[in-house]
This record gives sequence, structure tokens and C-alpha cells, in this order.
Amino acid sequence: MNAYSQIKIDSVGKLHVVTFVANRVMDPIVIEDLGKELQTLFNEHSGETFLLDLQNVEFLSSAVLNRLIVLDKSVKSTQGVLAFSNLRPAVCEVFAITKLDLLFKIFENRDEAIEELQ
Amino acid sequence: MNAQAWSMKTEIDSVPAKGCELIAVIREKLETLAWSQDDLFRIHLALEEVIMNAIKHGNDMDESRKVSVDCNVANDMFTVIVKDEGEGFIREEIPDPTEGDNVYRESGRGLKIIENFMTSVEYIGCGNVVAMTKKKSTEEAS
Repeated sequence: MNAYSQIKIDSVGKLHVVTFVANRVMDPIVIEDLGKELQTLFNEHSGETFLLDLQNVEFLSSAVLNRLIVLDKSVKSTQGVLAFSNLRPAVCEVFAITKLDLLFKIFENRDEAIEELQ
Repeated sequence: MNAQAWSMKTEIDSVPAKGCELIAVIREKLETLAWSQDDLFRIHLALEEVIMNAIKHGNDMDESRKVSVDCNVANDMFTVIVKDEGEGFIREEIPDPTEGDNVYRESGRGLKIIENFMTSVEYIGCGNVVAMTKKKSTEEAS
């Protein structure tokens, strides 16, 4: 059964590559659902590695950033890893401005991330 | 009339959904005026921060209080003035979200984002009025 409506998951062993269904993540209801689905995924695969590939993401609300910080804490508490790839320049800029780039593992593209994380 | 010019002055209830609707209208207009995706991202995020701050922190989500938004696009410059009915704030008293453990906080990045993404940001009066401008990026810069 596919319990996820906001994310797509491509798993190879203990590495789970996640993409967002919405390309503009700004609707509060979508953000809430997205957060819940990611938390469910992280709980189901506790201690494993998750790569959020943001290639199709055109816009990311700051509420999403706030949620990602909570999720990162949750993943790290189980010795798991949360990483990102394919951030568009403006998203990279947000991460740099807020120093979230020091908090998260960020890769230029999916292949580089998979090679490093597997 | 300049085809690249547009303006809008409106007032919304202090309801987040109303803020989202207004931002969508402004974004759509900027898209039709050929602003780049990166500029749209920056303006959208800054608008979201300033309007949601006005609704949530300025007006305490009190639906009887209004948020007024005066928006203008002229040539290559976007300008917006957002006013709430709250008591305002002192910019210097807001903690820097990039200092120490503040990085791990789940909120408080709004002003940092606004000030970096916009060309100018001015907190007027007691801080319940925020005026922001954004110059259209050149292709190389965006």
C-alpha cells in the first residue's frame, strides 16, 4: 500500500531517495502532510540514510525549512543521516544565509550523493 | 502606459490563507512581467515572511485587525509596503538566527532571509510597517 501522497521514494538498501510531488511547497496543508509523511518514513527506517532530492522544487516555504530542522533532529537521534541534493540556486542561497548548509549534508546532484552515501 | 508597470493596494484579514492568496496574486503578476524564477523565489519568500509576520506576530491572528499591502512594480523595481495594526518590534532585539545554537531553532529566520533577498528593507515607525524593494536581477546575476 502506498501511504504517501506528498513524496515519492526510491530505495536502494538502506538509502532512501525522496522527491517531493509538489514543485511549489507552500500550501500549509501540503507542508503539514509532507512533514508527517517524512516522519513516518524516517520512523519506518530508523537509523538509515535519507536523501531529499529537490530537483523539481521551484519554491520552498520557510515553514518547510523549519520542519526540516525538526526532522533532521529526529533522524540524527537514531544515528541516521538526512542529506539533500539538486538544490536550485535560490534554495542554496537560503541554506547559506541561514547557515543551514552547516547543519545539513548537501550534494550538488543525486549521483554524487548516492555514491557518497551508499 | 508602461507595460512593465503594475500596482495594487489592498487590505486583508489576519488569516494565513488570505496572505497565501495575496502572495499568489502578486507572484502571478510578476511572472507575467517576466521576472526570473530566481527573483520570483526571493520575492515570494520575502513576501511570505513579511506578510505572515504581520498576520501572526503583528496582529496576533486577530481577524478583526487588518494587514495592508501596497505593492508596486515599475521598470525593473519591485516595491512593497506591509503594515499591520500591532505594536511593532525593535529590529536590534531580534536574535541572529545564525549565531550559536540559534541555528537549531525551528523559527526566527524570517528577517535574515528578507534582508538578504531584497535590495532594501526598512522598518518604519515602531516597526509595524515594513517597506522592501527588489531590483530585477540581470540574467548573469540571477
